[in-house]
Amino acid sequence: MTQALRVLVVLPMYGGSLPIGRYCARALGDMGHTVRVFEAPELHPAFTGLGRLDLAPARRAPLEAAFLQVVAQAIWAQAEELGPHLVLALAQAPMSRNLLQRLRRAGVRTAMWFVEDHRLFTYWRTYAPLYDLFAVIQKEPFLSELAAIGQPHALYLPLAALPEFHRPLALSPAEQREYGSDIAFLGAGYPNRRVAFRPLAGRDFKIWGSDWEGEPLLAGNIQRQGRRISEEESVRIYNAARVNLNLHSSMSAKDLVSHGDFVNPRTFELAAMGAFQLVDRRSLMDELFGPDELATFDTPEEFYRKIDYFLAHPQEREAYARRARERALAAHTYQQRMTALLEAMETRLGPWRDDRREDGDTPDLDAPLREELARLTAGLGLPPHAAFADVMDRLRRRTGPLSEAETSLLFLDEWRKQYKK
Amino acid sequence: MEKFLVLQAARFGDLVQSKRLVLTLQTQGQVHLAVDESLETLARLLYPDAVIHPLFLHGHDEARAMAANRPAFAALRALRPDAVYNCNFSGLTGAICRLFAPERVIGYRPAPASEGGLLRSPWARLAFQLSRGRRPSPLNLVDFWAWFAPSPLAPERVNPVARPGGQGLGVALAGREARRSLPSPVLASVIQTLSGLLGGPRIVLLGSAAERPAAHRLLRLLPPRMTRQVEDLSGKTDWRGLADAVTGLDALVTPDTGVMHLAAHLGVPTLAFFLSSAWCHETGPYGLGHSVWQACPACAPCLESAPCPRNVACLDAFRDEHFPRLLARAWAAPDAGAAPALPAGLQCWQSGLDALGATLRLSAGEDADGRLRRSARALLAEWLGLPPGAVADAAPDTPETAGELRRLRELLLPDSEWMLPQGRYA
Repeated sequence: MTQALRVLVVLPMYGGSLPIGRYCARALGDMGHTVRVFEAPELHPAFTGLGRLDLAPARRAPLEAAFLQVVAQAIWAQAEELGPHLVLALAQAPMSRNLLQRLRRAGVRTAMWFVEDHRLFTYWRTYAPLYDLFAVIQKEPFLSELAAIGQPHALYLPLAALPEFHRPLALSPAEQREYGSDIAFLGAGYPNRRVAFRPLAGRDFKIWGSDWEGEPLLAGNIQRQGRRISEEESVRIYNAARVNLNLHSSMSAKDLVSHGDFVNPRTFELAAMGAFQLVDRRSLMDELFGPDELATFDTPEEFYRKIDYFLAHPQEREAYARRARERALAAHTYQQRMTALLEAMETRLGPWRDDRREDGDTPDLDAPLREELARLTAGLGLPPHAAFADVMDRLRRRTGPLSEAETSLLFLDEWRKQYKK
Repeated sequence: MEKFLVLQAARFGDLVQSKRLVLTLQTQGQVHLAVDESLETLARLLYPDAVIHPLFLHGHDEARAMAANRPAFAALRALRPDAVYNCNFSGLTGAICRLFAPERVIGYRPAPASEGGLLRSPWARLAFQLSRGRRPSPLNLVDFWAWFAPSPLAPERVNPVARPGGQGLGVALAGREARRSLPSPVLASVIQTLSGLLGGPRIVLLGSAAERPAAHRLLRLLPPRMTRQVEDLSGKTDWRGLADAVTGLDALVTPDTGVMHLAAHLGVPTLAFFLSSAWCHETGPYGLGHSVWQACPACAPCLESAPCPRNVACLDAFRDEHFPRLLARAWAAPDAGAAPALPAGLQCWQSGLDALGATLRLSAGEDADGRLRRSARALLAEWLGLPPGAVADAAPDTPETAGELRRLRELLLPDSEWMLPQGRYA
C-alpha cells in the first residue's frame, strides 16, 4: 500500500458527483488513510438563500462570487488544519483557481475526479491544468485534449461501487411491496428516457427520481411525485425490482440509445448489489464487463424485447446478476479506484511527501493506556499503525464527553506540545 | 446541592486571584478546585471549604504525570459537575474539559476540531479584546474570572480591608521575572525609608530558596542597625509557614507577586512596585488599603518574554535620588490632594472597589490613559448589565466620553458579536 496519507476530499455542493465523493472518502478511510471531507453541501443553503433575495442579476452576481470566496477560504482552512498530502476534488467541487494555485504553492498535491461527460461540462478547459492530476471517465479524444491544454497527468478512471453499501439486501415483505415492481428505473427524467419509457406506461413499472415533470403519460408510474431518492433508499429499490432499466442519459429525444462512451455509476452499483439490470451498450463497457455479465441493448427494439424476455426468464436474470456482482467486487470497487489514483500520482509525480509530524511519534505509554490507544484507534476507524497525532486529530473532532482514558491521551498530546518543543 | 468544578492550572498568584470566583460559587453550591499538585497545600489554606483536586500540570515528568492524572481525571468525571469553570486559555485544561459535555464548560471551551484550540465565551472575548491594548485596561484579573459566574460576590466580601497588624514590614524579594522587581540597591533604599517611617520595625524577608542570593545582597546593603531587625525567611517556609509569616504584618513591600495577592487575601496592606510587564490595572492587589507605585514610561507595560531594548528604563524613576522623599510623602499622605508631584513615567495608585470590582485611584502622577480606561470600564459595566452609576470609574456623560464609548463599542463589539447568536463561544 502507498504510505498512509492525509487526504482532504472536497465534495461538490450538490449533484450526482456528491455521493461519489462520499464513496471515495469512505474507501480511502478503509484503506488506512486519514481522511477529512469538506462538506460543501452544508453551505449550499446559504447559496440558495442568496438566490431567494429577489435581487437583480447584476447585484446578485458579486454576492455569489463573494460567497464562493468564503467557501474557498473554508476549504483552505481545512487544508491548513489537516496538512494533507492530497486534496481530492469531485466534479463541481468549489475549488477556485486561486485556491488551486495556493495549494500548489503550499506543496499540496491536488486531483480532480471529473465524473462527468466532458462534452456537456466544459469548464475543465479552464481548471484541468491547475490540478496535478485529472482523472476522467472517458478516453479519447478527451485524454488528448487534456494534454493539449497543459494537463500532462490525465488518468482514465472509470466509476465503481462501494461493496459494503451497494450490496444485496434481504427486504421485508413490506419493503418489497413498497419498492418492488417488474420494471424499475431510478434517475432523472432526461429527454431520451422520457420517450423510451412511454411505451411502458401501462405496465408494472415504477419510476423513481426527479425531473419528471410534464410527463402525463408516465404520471401513474412516477413514484412520490418525483421527489429525490436518497442513496440508502436507492439500494432498496434496486434490490426490489426484477428488471432494473439503466438507460444512459441524453439530451436528445431522437436517439433513445445514445451510444456514448463512459459507463455510468448505476451500472457498477447495480452490479455490486447483485441486482439485474438491462443497460444500453457503451463503447467503454467491454473492457469493464464481459458479455455474459451485463444484459445489454443497442436499439429501442432490443430494449423492449429484452425487458419481456428477462421478465420471463428469472434464472437467466439471476445468472447475469451473479456474474456481474463477481466482476464488480473483483475489479470495480472505489478502493481499487482510489488505489489506482494514488499510485498514478506517485508514479507520475514522484513519491509522496514523508512528513510524519514531529509530534506524531507514539509516546511511551503504560500497558493500560497503550491498550486504550489501540482500542481508540480502531474505534475511530483508523489503521493500527496510525500516527499518534492523527489519532488525536480524530479524537478532538469527536463530540460529547470523552472517557478518562481518552482525556488522558488528549492531555498527553497537549503536554507534549507544551513541554517538548 | 449544585457542584462546580474550577480548573485553575496557573501559578501561585493566579490561584489566589481566583478567590472571588471560588467564593461566589461557594454561595451557590459545592466547589471542587483542580490545581497543580505543587499548590495543593496552598489551595487548602486559601479555600478550606473547597474540595481540592491536585493534578500534574507542570513539569517534565511525563510518565509520572500520566500515572497520577488518570485516576484524578476519573474522579473529576465521576463528580458530574453542574458547571466547569476553565480559567485558563490552555490546551492542558482544554483537554481536561473534554471529560464533560461542552455546554457545561464556562470560560474557555475546547473546540471540536482536529487542530483543537479553545473557544472563548463572549465575556472572555470582550476581556481579551480589552487586554490587547493594555494601558487602558480597566479590569483586574480577579474580576475577569469572577464574572465567569453570573452575579459574583460583592468585591468587598473577597478580601478584608487591609490594616497594619503590628508584626513589622514584609519584603517579597523577587517576582517570577527579575525584570519586574526592584534591584537590590533600590529595594534597600525603599526599606530604609519605610523602616524610618514605621519606627524601625521587624523586617521579614520572604521568598523561595531561589531568592536567597537576593536576600544576601539586600542584607549587605542595609545598615547594621537594620540588619539586626531582619528575619530572612527566604527558602525557609512552606506554604503554611509563608502564610503565617505574612499574617499580621504592618505592610508588605512587593513587586507583582503571589505573595502580594496572599497578603491582600490576609488583609495585610501591600506597597507594591509595578514595572516592566506588570500593570497594576490588570493584576494589582485586590481589596481596600493597598498602594501601588506604577512605572509607566511610554513603552510600559512590555512583554515579559521580549528583551528590553531600553535597559529597563522603567527603573529610572525608582532610582532617582528624590524617590525616597516622594515615597515618604506619599506614605504620609496617600490622598491625592496632598500627594507630591511625580516625575513623568511614575504613578502612585490607591486601591478601591466598585460594583464591577477592583479600581485604582490615582493619588499622584499623571494618567494619560485615564479617560479611555474609564470609558472601557463603563462599557464593561454596560455589557454586564450593571445599573447606571454602579461603577465609580465610569466615564462622566460628556460629549467626549460619549464619543469615546461609541468608538470602543465599535472596536470591541464587532458586528459578529451581535449579528450572530448571542452567548456563543467563538
